[in-house]
Amino acid sequence: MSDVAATIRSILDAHGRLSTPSQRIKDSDDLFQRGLSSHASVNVMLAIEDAFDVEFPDELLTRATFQSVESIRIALESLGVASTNVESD
Amino acid sequence: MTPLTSPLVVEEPLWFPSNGQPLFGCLTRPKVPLARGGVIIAPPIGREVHASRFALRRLATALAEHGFVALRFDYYGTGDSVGDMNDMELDVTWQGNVLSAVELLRSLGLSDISAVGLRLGATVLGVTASGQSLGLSSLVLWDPCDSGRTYLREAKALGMLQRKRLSGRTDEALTIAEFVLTPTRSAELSRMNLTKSKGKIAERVLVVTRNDRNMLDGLRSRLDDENVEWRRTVEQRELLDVNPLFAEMPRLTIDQIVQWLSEPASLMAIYEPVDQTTSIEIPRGDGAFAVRERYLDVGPHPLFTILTEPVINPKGPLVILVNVSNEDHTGPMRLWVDLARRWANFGLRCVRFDPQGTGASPWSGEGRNMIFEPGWSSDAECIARTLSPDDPSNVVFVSLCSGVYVALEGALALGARGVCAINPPVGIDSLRLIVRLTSSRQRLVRSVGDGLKWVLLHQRWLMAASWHFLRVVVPKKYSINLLSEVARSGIELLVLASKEDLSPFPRVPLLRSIDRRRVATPMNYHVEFLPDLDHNLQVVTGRARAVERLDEYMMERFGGLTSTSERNDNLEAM
Repeated sequence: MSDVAATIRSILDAHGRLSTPSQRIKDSDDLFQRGLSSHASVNVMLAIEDAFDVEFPDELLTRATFQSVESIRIALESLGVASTNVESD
Repeated sequence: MTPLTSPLVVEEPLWFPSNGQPLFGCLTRPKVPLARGGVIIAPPIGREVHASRFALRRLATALAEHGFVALRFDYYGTGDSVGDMNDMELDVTWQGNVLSAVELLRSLGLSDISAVGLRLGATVLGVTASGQSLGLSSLVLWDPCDSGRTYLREAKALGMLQRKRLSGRTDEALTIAEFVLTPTRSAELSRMNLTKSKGKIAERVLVVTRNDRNMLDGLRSRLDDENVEWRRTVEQRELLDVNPLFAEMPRLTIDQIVQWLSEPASLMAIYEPVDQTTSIEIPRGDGAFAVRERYLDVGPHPLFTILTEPVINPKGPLVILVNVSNEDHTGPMRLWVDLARRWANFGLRCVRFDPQGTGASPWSGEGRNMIFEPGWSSDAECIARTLSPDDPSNVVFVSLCSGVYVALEGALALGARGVCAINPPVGIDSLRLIVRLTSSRQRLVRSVGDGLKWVLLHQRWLMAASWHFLRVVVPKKYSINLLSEVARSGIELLVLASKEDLSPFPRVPLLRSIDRRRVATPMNYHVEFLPDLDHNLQVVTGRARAVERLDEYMMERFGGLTSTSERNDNLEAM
C-alpha cells in the first residue's frame, strides 16, 4: 500500500465514521455507502489537507472527490501529492 | 421577565447599543443581585447557531445558577439584532459588538468578566481579546475555528458535499446555507484569524476541542504562550453534525465549562439591575412606515414574542410567523425577521414567537426533541387573542413545513383571514391524527397516540422512512383533509411548494408525470410550484422567488398601503 493510501485510510478511520474499518474497504469502494456522511467528509477533507499540506480547490469539493480511497488519491495527485506503490484491488 | 426552570435564575431579553445600532441580547442572572462576575457568550453563526442556541441557553442558566450574570447576544445582522450581514464591515463591526457586550456587563458593576465562544464565536472573541484590552479573567474557546476563512471553507464544503444548489447568483457572492455574503464581506470575515492574532487574550484560557478533529498546529502554537488548558469533547458531533432539529444537549461539555469558570474562588458582589430596553425603532427602510420592534411576554406561560409594527397607524391584519418544529422565532435563514421588518415597513403588524418548550420561551432546560406539540396551535391562538384582542380572526399565518400544521389548526380555531403555507409536510393529516389521539379522553387511545409520537421523535430512521414512503405512495401529495378544510372554511390559502418535495425521483420523467397528476387532481385550493424552491428554503434563488411571491400576495391581499400605484412604487424600491 502506498504511503498516501495508508494515510488516507488512517484518516478515514479517525474521522470518517465508517461502518467498516478502512482496511476492509477496497480502494474503489463507495465510501458514502460505507457510512461516510457529508459532515464526516468535511472532517476527512480538513484532516487530509492538514496531513498533506494541501488545499482542495472549489472544483474538487464534490462528493465524487470523496467517493472512494482511489478518488481521494487521484485528487491528491492532481494537487501534486506524489503517490508510489499504489495498491490494486 | 421569563421564569426559567430554576427558581433562582431570571432571564431578561433586551436590546443594547453597539456603535449606535441596537443588538438583541438576553441577560441570564441570579435572582438576587449578588454575582461573582459576568460572562459573555458569543454564539456561532449560520446553521450552527440554530443547532446550538438551546445549548447556549442551558449554559447561561447553569452559569447563573453558579452566581454569574451571563449575556448572550446576536451580532449585528444576525438573529434579532438590527441590520444585515452585508451592511457593514463585518469583522470590525462584530468585534465592536463584543466590546459593547463587555461594556454592558461592566456597567452593571461587575468587575470580573469572562467569556465563552462557540465555533466562530470563539474566533471573534479571541481576535477581539487579542486586539483590544477586554481584560478578560477567563476565556473558553469551545471548538474554535482558527479563522473566519476556515469557517467559510467548512460551511461551503459542507454545502457542496451535501449537493445543495445554494448558488445561483452571478456576482460571485459566497452563498452558504443561512446567508449570502458579498465578496467584500467574505474577505472581512476571512481576515479574522485567531492563529495570527497577537497578545494575551485572557488571564487563563480553556480550549475545548472535538475528539474527532485534529486541532490545527497553528492555533496550538499560537496559544502556547497563554495560560491554557486543553480538553476534548465527544459531544460536538451530536450537537453540530446533525440536522439542527435533532441536536443533542452537550451536558458534559457545559458542566465542564461551568466548573472551569467557577474554579477560581471569588467573592460575590452586588450588581445593579439592568436598564432593560425592550423596544427599539428599526432604521427606516424603503417602505412608507417607520418601524418599531418590541419584546413581549404573551400568555400565561409566558411565550417569548417579538412584535414588529409601524410606529403609527398600522393597517391590515396581524401577521403571525410560525416556527418550523423546534427552531426558534427568527425563522428559516432568519426569514421571519426579514419579512416582519419589510412588511411592517409597509404598514402590517407582524409577530414572531417561540411556542412553549422551544426557543426562548419557558422550557424544561433539557433536550428538545420536539417536532410538534398539541399546545403549539393553542399558543398561536393565544398570540392572536392577545395582540389582536378586538378581532382575533383578523390574522394571517405564514409558515413552513411542520409549522404549516400549527398554522392551519390555529387558523381554523380563529377563523383567520389567511394562511401562507410553504412546503406543507407530507402526511400532514397523519400529524393531525396523532395530535387528536394524544388529546383523546380515552386513556387507551391517548396511549396509542403517545406511542406513535414517541416513535416519530425517537426513531429518526422510521420517521425518514415514513416520509420517503409517503412521498412515493400517497395518492395525493398534499393533504386531503386539513388544507381542504381550511379552504372550505373560507380562509384564504396560498400554498407554495417545492418540486423537490414531490418525489424522491424527480429526474425520472414517468414518475415526474405521475407526480404532476397527483397534485393536479381536483382540489379546492391551488398549489404554486416555484422553480428552485427547496424544502428548507436554503437555495437562494428559490428562496428569493418565495419571498417575492409572499410580498406580492401579502401586499395585494392584506397590504396596508392604500393605492395600487403607491404599493407598486414601494415594491420596486424594495
